[in-house]
Amino acid sequence: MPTKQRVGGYLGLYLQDCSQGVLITGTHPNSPAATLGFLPGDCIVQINDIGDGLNGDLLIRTLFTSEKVIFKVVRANEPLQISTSVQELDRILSVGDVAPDCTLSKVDGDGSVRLSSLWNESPLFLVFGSYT
Amino acid sequence: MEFLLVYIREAHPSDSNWPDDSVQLNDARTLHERLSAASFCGEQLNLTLPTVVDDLDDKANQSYSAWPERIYILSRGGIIHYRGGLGPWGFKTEEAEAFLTSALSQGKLRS
Repeated sequence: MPTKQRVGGYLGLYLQDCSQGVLITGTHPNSPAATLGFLPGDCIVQINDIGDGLNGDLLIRTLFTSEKVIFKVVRANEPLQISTSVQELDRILSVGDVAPDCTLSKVDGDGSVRLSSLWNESPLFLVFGSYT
Repeated sequence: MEFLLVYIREAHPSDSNWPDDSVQLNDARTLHERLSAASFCGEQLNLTLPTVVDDLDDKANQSYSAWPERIYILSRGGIIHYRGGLGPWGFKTEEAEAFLTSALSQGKLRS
């Protein structure tokens, strides 16, 4: 059985830089962010020891490179603290799990591919991404 | 060994809070738009990987916690042997390549 590996965090937040830090404009459905209780309108003013100069890029970088994360949040002018760990954030899949099966459209529009039809024949190297 | 690019929701579409100023590409509102964007992406980046596209419900993206980018290596039978970190900082092609080379040489991906 493969050994587990440390991976970065995934939160599921829609963010926008603001004068106080980073404004949450929405949360992805069923995401860790929603489970942790983040709400649209929350303003993240500090993440771990980063407060002054906090912006979205810094927040994501800290989130993706930290074992534990403490968010200091302002909600309706009231301070709030939310803590979590990378393990909690990135819990959806782990090494050793069975990969989710999906049917995906071919880029040329000529039909679709079911992932299991590929991995049933050979190992599969998957790269997820986009242009921007 | 099969290689597959799964094109998912754009990370910095032009109509978002964090647009990529170097690329004019809005967030797709139909599957057709996303297929077109994926095709455009492939052409611009000279990609040769077979490419498939996630539907607008972002099912593959969410199932694999993939956004904005991530690498997986699956054995025959679909067991996850490598799960890379989230991009950009965790997206490490050299790490994935080294893992793949080692795993293949040890026969770890056969089933």
